[in-house]
Amino acid sequence: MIKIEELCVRYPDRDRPALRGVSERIEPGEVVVVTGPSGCGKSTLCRVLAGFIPGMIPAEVEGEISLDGVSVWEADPARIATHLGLVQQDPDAQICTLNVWEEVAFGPENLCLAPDEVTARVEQSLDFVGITHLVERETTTLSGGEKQRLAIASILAMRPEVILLDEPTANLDPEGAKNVFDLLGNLRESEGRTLIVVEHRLEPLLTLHPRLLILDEGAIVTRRTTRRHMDLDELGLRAHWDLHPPSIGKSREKVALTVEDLSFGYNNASLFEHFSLELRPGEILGVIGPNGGGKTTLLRLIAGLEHPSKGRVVRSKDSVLGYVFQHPHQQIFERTVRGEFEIEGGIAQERLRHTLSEAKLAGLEEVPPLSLSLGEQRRLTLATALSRDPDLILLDEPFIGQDRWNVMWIVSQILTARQRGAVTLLVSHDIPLVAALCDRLLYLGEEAIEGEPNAVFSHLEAMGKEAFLPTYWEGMRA
Amino acid sequence: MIPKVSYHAGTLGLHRATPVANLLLLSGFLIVVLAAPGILVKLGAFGLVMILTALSGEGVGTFLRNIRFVLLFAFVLFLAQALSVRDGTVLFSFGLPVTDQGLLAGAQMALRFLVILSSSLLFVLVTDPDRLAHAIVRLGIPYRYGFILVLALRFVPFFRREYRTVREAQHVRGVDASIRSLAGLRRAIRYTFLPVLVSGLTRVDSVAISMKGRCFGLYPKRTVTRKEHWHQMDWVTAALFVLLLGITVLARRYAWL
Amino acid sequence: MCALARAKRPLLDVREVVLVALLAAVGGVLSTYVGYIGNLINRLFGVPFGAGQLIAGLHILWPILARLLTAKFGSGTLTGVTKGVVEFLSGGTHGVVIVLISFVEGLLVDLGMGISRRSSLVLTMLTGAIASASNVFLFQAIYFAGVSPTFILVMAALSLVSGAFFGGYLGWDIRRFLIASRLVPQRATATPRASSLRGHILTLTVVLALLAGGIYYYTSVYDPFSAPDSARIEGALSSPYTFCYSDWEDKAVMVTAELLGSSTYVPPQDYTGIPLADLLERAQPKEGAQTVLVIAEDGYEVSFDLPAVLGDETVILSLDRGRLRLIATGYEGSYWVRRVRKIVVR
Repeated sequence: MIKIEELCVRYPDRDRPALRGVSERIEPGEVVVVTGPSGCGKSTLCRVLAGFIPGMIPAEVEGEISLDGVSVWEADPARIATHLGLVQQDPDAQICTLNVWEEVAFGPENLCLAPDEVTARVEQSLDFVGITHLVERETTTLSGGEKQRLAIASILAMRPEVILLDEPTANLDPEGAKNVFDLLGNLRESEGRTLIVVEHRLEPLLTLHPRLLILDEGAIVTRRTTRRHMDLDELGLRAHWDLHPPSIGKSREKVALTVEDLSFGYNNASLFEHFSLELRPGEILGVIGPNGGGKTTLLRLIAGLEHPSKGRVVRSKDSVLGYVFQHPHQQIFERTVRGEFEIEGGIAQERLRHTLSEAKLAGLEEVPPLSLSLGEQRRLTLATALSRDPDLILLDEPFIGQDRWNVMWIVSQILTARQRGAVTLLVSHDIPLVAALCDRLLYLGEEAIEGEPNAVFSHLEAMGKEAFLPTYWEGMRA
Repeated sequence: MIPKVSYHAGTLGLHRATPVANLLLLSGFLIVVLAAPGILVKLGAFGLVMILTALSGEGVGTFLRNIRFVLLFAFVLFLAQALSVRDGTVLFSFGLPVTDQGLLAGAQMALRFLVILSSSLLFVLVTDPDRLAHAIVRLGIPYRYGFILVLALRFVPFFRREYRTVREAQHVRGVDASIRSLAGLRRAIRYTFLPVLVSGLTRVDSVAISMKGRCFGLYPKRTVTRKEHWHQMDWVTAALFVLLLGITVLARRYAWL
Repeated sequence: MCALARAKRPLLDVREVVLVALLAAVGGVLSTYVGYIGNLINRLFGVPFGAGQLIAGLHILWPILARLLTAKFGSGTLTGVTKGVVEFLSGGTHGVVIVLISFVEGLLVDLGMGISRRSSLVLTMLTGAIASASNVFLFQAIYFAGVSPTFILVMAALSLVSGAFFGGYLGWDIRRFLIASRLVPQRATATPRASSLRGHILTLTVVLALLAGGIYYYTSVYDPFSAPDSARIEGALSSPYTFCYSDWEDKAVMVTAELLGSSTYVPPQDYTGIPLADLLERAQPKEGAQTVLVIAEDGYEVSFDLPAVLGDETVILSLDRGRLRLIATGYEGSYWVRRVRKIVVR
């Protein structure tokens, strides 16, 4: 049993506490889902429960956490690690060895278990998560979903009674996410383990009948046992988007971007063959599909960062490109927020102030951009990309790790640019959102499917790709 | 000069030896060229590298083509040395006198460079870096520090991707990353180094949590489950090491040419 | 089976182990980019190689950052050696030699930053300069015997400046930036100190003196490729050469001499050796040469009048425990040089 009493956590150089006065009891075998807007303290809760705060990450901590009556801060580290395992958000940042076998054996070997025991645990864990066939593979060659299952297997090899998962599907494509959700179901059914899951997407977890905790600004604001889908609607947590973007009208016949008979591949593996696409001013194209299917490569080809082996990309000579990469820090170069706008060719003082206040970044001109929160960095990179009024906007997974307010802000920016006639290509795994926002969808996978959202979805349904259907995320509406 | 050499799997020759055995052989080559005097011994060592390349199924022609910049640089070294040494008998002269001692010294340097580079690159070609890193951890050095190499190799592909993305982001944002002045150099370095470094630093906590959460460093030792067993090829490799060692001793003792 | 005793308090904690590994990996990956910039600079200067030393300091940046961000002795060396192995295994252009170079660079960073308990910008820049310059001397020791000392000094100077700026200053600057961006906690890093001028001048003097001595020794005395019983004969000569005692043994003579030193006295005894006059005659001193300098391995040198030595068959080079020793019959004790490595005519 986990008992949390009046827990407060404050990081050194932050004004507000990350957690304030959290109290909770979690019984053995329970499934608890924790949700809330970004920055609400979810990750801090995971890290403090697993004993990494304040031991490894410095912070002031008050209150008490006990595992079966033993305080986390006084317990033996081996005891905590074998009692409670933490699976983190980014699968790529938690794998620390070079091949699958070594990765799963890593924990048991550190525990100095006998070699036979290590071997047995590796086999069992890999079997449970269903990646036994990958046992001799190099970890860097795995897909995101495979990596996350590997991360779960390596935690399972420690035989913890409680498994904590911090947004385990946030970085995965819909298929990878579906596999992980299915796996959580198995953990629940066959092992009866206590699961604590931090997640934004709640629908796929409903079948586990979890107890729901909603955090906001470091405190638990709502506790609920979810039995029915209605609960999510009441709480405003359903991933449902009612956007109805204004139509762009049929009058614009000019073509803004043409991809003609394009072929491209890496190392003899072909990604595009005779691929064509036409986009008219103001159109928003949602690009979906599994990772490795060519979504980012398409953006790179259009931006001219890769050159097609056949065919071509045509856009008008004076067209201005705005490209927002998946991770903000990859395109933040300057030391102040103002400097970031100056790279883009300078901006008038008045407009800078206006842009920043629009992006809720007012007064931060002289602040180092990397000290901003992830959501703020995302708004900054989009604002700088849009400051030159681009007529071709490429967005690569702009919604990852963003809360609802940020998502709405990004959507409003896309719709404003659309009014100007800008074309947007939006790569995203958020199926319900792209379904509501985009004029057309492009699925890039084993084959390329393009068309009106509903036409693409029925095609995908016929192919058995249920992970890419909006209904999968919104639950089966009876 | 960037030779495009990296490990690829194979089944012949040194590919079959364990990483540690190959490391032993590489150190043998280093000892010979650094400690044994004489040109013939070095020439022999270079010949042995070529033979081993062929036996490992790598194709001597391809290998030499891949290291053509190394060959070129060895030749430059030879010329520089031959022209700068004034001792000895003048053999001929074009502008600068060329002496017998100069030619000898040039050959010494060029061969030393050639053997070090070719044996290094052959090692890289036939040794799986992942297995090597894990083998080094098991070799007996404290695993806490041995694991630094495993971790570093683990993140090399990640940083290569990040580096490429950052360069592309510079391009897309119209950042001037050309190097025409000292200020330009500073800017190029800052715009490239910082983003890649930052993407690394944002992972430190996550990786450390993942390791500590699985009890890394809790005990002074850890279990070694998988061991590398020595097979025939490893003993052959070890014998070659002993041979190289013996030649070094003899060459020093009898001042072989 | 391993004992279940707990590990002692280790040098680096897990977080620092990860930090060192990541810095080494970044450094290893970006070394390709550094090589690329180096080639650009060479082309800019129109030379095949050498001008790249202008950015040699970028290789030092990583161990320096490790040292600054962990404030632990050893983190620089570990970063250096790991970065070297990463470069080597990626098929880098220096082969396995880069592991040694990078290791020494890291070690020097640890030693340099270890002078003071607290880090300071001046110390960081000095450390960067010295660690960076080491690569020139190591490469020279391995490959470029006999290259002119002027060339080596120019390279070393470039590397020194580069290390101070691209290693030391940039490292310091990046650390400050990372703290300002809250990417590293202030607490965990070395605390900066308001610069105490006197401390810096002292450090500076000691380091510069060591450096100057080192460079002098290296360029004018040390020759890794010579046998212990040999000496270089050079200067105002028509045919300079390297003297090797074993080649001249048949020309040896015997003299009787008495050592009269300021603190030592050795009564008259017999010494066997080759007259310095014979050695110099073979090299054919040029017109107008006046003096001859005899220089020992440790840099000690004495000067003789050339005509006097040429006419004196009793000043000989003898073999003493495998090393050359000057027996300066008729001169006082301080002229009797042990471990002679070089003879220069002026």
